[in-house]
Amino acid sequence: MTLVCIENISFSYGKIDALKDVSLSLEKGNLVGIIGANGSGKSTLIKCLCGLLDVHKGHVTLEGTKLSSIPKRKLATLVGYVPQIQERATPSTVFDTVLMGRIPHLTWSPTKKDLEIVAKAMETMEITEFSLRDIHELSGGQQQRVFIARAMAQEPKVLCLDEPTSSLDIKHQLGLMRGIRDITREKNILALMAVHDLNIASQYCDSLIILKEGYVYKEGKPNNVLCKENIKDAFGIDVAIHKHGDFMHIVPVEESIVEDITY
Amino acid sequence: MNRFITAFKKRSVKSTKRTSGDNILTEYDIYNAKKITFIALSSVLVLLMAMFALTQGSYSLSLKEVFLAVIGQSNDIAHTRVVWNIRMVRIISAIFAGVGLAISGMIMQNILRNPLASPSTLGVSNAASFGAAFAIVAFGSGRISSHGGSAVTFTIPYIIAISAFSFSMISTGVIILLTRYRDASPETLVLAGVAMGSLFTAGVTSLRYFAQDEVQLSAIIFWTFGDLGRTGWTTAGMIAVASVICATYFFFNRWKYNAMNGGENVARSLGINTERVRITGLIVASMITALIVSFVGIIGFVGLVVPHMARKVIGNDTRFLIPASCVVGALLLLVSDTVARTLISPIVLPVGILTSFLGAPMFIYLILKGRNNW
Repeated sequence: MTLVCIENISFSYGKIDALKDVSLSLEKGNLVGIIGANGSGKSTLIKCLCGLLDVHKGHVTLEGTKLSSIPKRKLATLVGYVPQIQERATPSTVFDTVLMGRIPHLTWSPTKKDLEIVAKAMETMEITEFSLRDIHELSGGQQQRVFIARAMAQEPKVLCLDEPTSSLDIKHQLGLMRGIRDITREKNILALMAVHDLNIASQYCDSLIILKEGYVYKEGKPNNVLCKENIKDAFGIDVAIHKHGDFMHIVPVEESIVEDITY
Repeated sequence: MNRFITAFKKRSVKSTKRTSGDNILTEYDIYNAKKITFIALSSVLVLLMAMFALTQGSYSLSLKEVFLAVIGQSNDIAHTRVVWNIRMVRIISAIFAGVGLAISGMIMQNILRNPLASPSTLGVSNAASFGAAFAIVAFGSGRISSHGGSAVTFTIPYIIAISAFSFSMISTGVIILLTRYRDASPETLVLAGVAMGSLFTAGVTSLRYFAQDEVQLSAIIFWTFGDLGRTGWTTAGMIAVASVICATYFFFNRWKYNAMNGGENVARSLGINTERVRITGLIVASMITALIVSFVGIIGFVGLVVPHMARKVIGNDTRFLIPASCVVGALLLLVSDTVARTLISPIVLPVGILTSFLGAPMFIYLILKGRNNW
C-alpha cells in the first residue's frame, strides 16, 4: 500500500534547480535508499519530505493527505528526521536528547507512557548504558544511534535519514543499516535514506532511487538499477561489478587501470 | 557553593556508571530530582542571604531588630524606615533584576545556540542605557530627586523605560538580521554586539555634552554603571512583575527551547517554528533587559555568567535551567550588591562594577574554552 506519494515536485535554491519534476511512490515496511552524486538533490528530497523545505511545484501526499496542509506539529508525529552528525547541537544527555522526540506529542510534561517510549527506543538502539552521558562524549556511531532513537521516539510513519552512515567506520555502518532495516520491518514504517556507499546501499536497501541533476534517473531493486551503465551515467565513473552470492560488489575502476587490464 | 557543585557532579558521574536497561527510568527520575533539590536549596540560600542583607548597612541592626521591623512590631520607627524603605527595596530590586538579567541571558544563549550571548555581549544593555540617557536629555524626563543618601531615583521612569526599550530593539534587530545568515558564527554575533555596544557608549558620551545641568549629567553617568540604590517601591515592583512575567512566559515555552537544543533542522522537524521562537524570545529578553537597565543602569555580565553557573549543575534541559538561572541570578546579584554595600562601608560601590570584575574573566574563559564544551 502506498504511504508516500510524490507527484511532480520541483524545488530550487534561488536560481539553482535542486529537484526537477520528481515523482515517486513509496510503500510501508521498506528501506529506500537515495543515491546520486553530490548536488544531485538527495538532501533536498529528504528535506522536502520532512517538511523542512516547502516544495515549489507539485505536491507530496502522506496517506492521501497533502503534506502542505498538515500542521507542522502534527507532521512531526508522522515524519521523523535524522540529521547528519555534523549539525551543531547544544550539549544534552542521551536521555534528554531522545526525549526531544516526544516534544510534538507533549502538552505540559512527559507522561509515564512518553518516558517508556523513550526507554524502549533507547533499548532498541542499544544506547541505554549511555543514558545520562552527554551526547558530545559519545563516538560518531553512538551519536547517530541516539539521533535515530530520537526519531523513533516520535513514533513516525516515515523515517528520513540524511547520510547517516557517513563518518562511521565499516562495522558501525553495517550495524546501523541492519538496525534501520529491522525497524522498518518491525514497525512497518518507511525509511528513506540518503546514502553514499553503493555496496552498503545494495546490500540493505529494498529499493534504490538514483538521482541525477535533480531528476529521478532510475528507480527499482538494487540488482536492477546498479549496473555499469547507470553508475557511469549518474556518477561519471567506470566500475566493475562482481557478484558474491546474493551480494554485489561495486569497485571503481580508474581509466588507467582499465588500460592496464586490457593491455 | 563550589564545593556543593563538585559534590553534586561527582555523585551524578557515579550514578551513570551502573546503568542498565531496566532502571534507566528510575535513574532519570533521580537525576531530575537532584536538579530540583539544587533549585530548592538555592532558593533557601536566597532567602537566608536576603535576611543577612537586611542586617547589613551603615545603620547597624541586629537580626532580631530586623525581624521585628519586617513584621511591623518594631517600637523604633527609624528601624522600620531603614528596613522597609531602604534595604528591603534594594534587596527586592537585586533579586528580581538578577532574575530578569539571568533569564534573558539564558534564553539568548539557548535560542542562538551561542554560549557567548547575553544582553551585555550583544549590545542590548548599552543600547538601552543610551535610550535612557537620550530620554533624560531629549524629553527632559530627567527630573531627579535625591533619595536615601547616595541613591538617585527618577520621577518619570516610564518615558525612560520606553526609550530604553526602543533603542535596545535596534541591537536586537541587528542580531536577528545576522542570525538569518546561517553561517554567522557565535563570534560574529558577539563582535557585532561589541560594535553596537561601543557605538551606543559613544552615543552616551556625546549626550553628556548636551546635558543641561549637573543633575542630568550625573544621571547619565550613573547609567553607565548599574546601581541598585536608585529604585523606589514603584520601580522595584515593576522590575519584579516584569521579571516574573517573562520567566513564566519562557517556562511555558520550555519544550520549544529544548527542541532548539537539537539544532535548527531538528527543531523544525519536531514541529517548531524556529524563526518565530527566536524572534519572540529575543524581543521578550530585550524587553526585560531594557526595563532593568532603564531603572538601575547597566549591570554587566550577570546574563552571561549566571546561566553558565546554573548549566554546570543542571545541564541544558530548559525545564530546570530556566528556574535554576532565575534563582542563581537572584543569589548572585544579591550577594554582589551586599558585598558592594559593605566592602568599604560606608561608601557604597555600584554593583555593576563588581559584576563586571566577575564577568570579564569569565567571558575570556568562555572564549578560550570554545563552543563545544559549554
